[in-house]
Amino acid sequence: MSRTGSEKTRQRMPLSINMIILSSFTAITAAAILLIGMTLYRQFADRARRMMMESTEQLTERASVTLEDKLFSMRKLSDAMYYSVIKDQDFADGNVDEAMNLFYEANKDTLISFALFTPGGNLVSAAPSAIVKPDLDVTRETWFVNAQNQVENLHFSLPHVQNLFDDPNYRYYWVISLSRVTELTFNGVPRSGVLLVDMKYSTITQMLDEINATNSTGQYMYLTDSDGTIIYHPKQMQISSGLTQENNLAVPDYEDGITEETFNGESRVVITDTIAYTGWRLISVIPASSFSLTLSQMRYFVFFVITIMVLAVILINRLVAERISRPVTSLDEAIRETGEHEAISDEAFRNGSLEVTHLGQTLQEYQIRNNQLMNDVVREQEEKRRSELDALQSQINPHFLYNTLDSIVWMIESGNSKEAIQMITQLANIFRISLSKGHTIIPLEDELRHAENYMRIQNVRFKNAFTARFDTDPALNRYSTVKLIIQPILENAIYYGVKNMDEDGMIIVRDWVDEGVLYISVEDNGFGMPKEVVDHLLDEDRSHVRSKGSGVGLYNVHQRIRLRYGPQYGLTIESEPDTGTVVIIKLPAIPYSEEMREVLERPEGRGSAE
Amino acid sequence: MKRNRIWFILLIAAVLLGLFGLRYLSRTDLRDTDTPMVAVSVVVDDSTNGRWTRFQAGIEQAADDYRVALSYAVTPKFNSISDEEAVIRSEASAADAVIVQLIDTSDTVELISSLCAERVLGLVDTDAPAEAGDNFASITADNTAIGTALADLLKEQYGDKLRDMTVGILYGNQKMRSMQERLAGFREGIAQSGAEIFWEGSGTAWESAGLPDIVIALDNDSLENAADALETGEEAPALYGVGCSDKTIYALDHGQISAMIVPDEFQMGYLALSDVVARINAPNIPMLPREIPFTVITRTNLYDPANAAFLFPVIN
Repeated sequence: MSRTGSEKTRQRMPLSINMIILSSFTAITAAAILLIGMTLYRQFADRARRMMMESTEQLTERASVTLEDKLFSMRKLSDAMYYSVIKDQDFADGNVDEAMNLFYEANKDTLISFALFTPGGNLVSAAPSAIVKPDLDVTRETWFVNAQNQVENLHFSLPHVQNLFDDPNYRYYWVISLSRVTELTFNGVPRSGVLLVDMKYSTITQMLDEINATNSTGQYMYLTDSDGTIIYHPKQMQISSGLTQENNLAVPDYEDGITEETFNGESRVVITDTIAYTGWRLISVIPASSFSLTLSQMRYFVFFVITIMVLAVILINRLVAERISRPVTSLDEAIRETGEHEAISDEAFRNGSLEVTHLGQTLQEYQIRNNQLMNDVVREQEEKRRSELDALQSQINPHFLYNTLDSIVWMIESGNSKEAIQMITQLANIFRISLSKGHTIIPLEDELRHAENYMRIQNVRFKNAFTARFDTDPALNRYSTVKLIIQPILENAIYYGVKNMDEDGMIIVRDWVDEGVLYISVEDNGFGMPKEVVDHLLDEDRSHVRSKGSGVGLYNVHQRIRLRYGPQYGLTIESEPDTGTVVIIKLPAIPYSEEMREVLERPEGRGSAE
Repeated sequence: MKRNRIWFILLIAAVLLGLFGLRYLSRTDLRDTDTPMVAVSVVVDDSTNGRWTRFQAGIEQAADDYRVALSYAVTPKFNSISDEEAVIRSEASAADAVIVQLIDTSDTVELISSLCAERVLGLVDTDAPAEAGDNFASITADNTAIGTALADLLKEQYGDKLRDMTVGILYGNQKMRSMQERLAGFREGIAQSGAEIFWEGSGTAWESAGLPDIVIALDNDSLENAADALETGEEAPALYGVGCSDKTIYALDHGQISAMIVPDEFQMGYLALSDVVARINAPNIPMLPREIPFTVITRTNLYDPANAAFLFPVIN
């Protein structure tokens, strides 16, 4: 049968207050740190994204301006060549080779060549000096056609391989051509011509390469014409070979500024700027991964800091939890360590909070009161038990008294008045010691005398059927003992040991002290008892013992001693069938005095006699 | 005791996490630099020859894109495959991968197998024999198709006149499977045209065998040599072939070569390097052979933007 949820809840191991405080504080603090961390990270990410877009926009604008400068320089070169050199020259008298070479030499870092053609495509002048390719028809070249079609404009071409001059070193140059229609004067008659300035394409690629090289987060910049045809791209060759792709055909649809697009499944931000004079578009691309890459280090740093903070919080919370729970824990430990009949000490709650102090004091008072009540109950129980034992003790006396008096009567009738007097005297001694002014603790001397008187009376009664011998040490006579503890043992020895023996029985009483313990032994050579009887002779449940009443006296004596001095004292019985029995009384060796007697007879003095 | 042990473990965890974090951040800093991740060596025959210009541009572009420490070995024209093998093994010893062009593919199964067993291997312009397995990247053009395309080019330009014309074939290094395939492709393509194969040979074979109407050069070196040696003019044979060097482009531009087929060797170089890098980064992904495209270039389409882009590579 399955257990219900409530049963499982009840069986769950309860947590310590320390752990509850620690886990609660930690959970709340960690959640707060995470929340704050995530919020700050989010804000930082948004801010970083905006900053990246702004800086890229600025970079694009700067690149655009630089590019415009380069193109403007080309225009100025073309203008200077045209207005300062060509317009002033009558080509019937000469050419402009020298002036053109001077211009070329001054700008050869950015230029490939100057060339001036007639409308029919014949070369008029060129710099540097070069041989035009055989069979070349420049009139079909795009730059020439564009110049002729719109004579008032300057025309920038797309990058192309220069197809003009013969280079025996097999070199070919990527150029951007600036062409315009010019006025050529022959014998004072103006005719049209075409001026071509070929700029090194690398001038643009190097500039943009340098910009792209500075970015390691995946951003890049590329250049298209107004139709989206790529002029420059950092992966231009890969695109030409079909190894990668670019979303350049979408560029004509974009306004200048920031646009978000998705290309090949990736979200990107593109920043577009139009180049003056040409209508070219400069495009900066920020892939989503670029934002992510920029923030990745920050993300790991935030994660790292949050983790360290959470661990630090755990450690701090542990100290706080320890501090808060320590009084309660101390109180709990004090309660656990408090023994029976004890109360917690003031130390257990001295440094605690008001509530804990109040709780401790209340508990302490409760324990003291409870202990008092318990002591009272125990005392009452012991008193009751002692009363019962005293009653049992006195139960022996009438029977003994009857037999003794019967013997005395018999002595008087038979004229043995002297013996009768002696017996009456011994009986009187027995009663005197039995009474002992109502004291329970008497000197060993009195107890031995009581035993001797008893044995003399029994000797007379049993007509000296056994011998009693007291091998006692007079030096021990002034030790304390509980009264009437030897006589019941002697009675047992007589009635169950030596009374019915064919040969003479012997009962020997000895005493000695060893390591603070007073030993009194009663040894008889009677019938003895089997082990199973001996083992249960002092049990409260003595159903195993023979029913004739054997052992009642021994049990009573044993209980009286234990009630008085504690469980470590009492009787020890050793017996062997047909050999005899030795009963040893074990008592604390306490010298007798009136003060000590009073102490020992007090209920609270019991059990601490040593 | 048990509680103290938990706290001790927590403390150790915090310290370890701190060290890990610091190490990670320092590694991230390093990763931001241009430190190359892998080293790749490239060994091709006669590596400074102009025919490799576009291939080298492609491989250097890929090395830049994938942050590869590239070692492009300067080699002479190898006399034998054993000479080449010695250079390959020397270069490969310090590299994570090696990209090679083998000058003789007739008995290279063992060489290829042993090379790709030790490190990642990329083969370029080399049709490896099937017995060599597939544990390497082989990147080349479809050489049979190149041969066929050359034949088709002649049929297109000469039409029925081809029946009365003779063709001499400069077949290049026939120890290379790629050259064998080009020759076979051309023979098959021209067979039905009626043109007579006047001779097949190498070097200046026409000097001994006589001038045909058309000379076909199946490799770049043969094409360059023929363009240099054969005069242009009415009586001179028309020259066609396969080439990709600046010199052959110049010759085409000046009419010494009538038309030529140009494989996209930029792409071959780029893909060769990117494939071996991919293999190093993901060793469990199998390497697949690739074919690169080729284009028929004539004097009239030489400067077309699409052709100019790969004939005259712009290297960033």
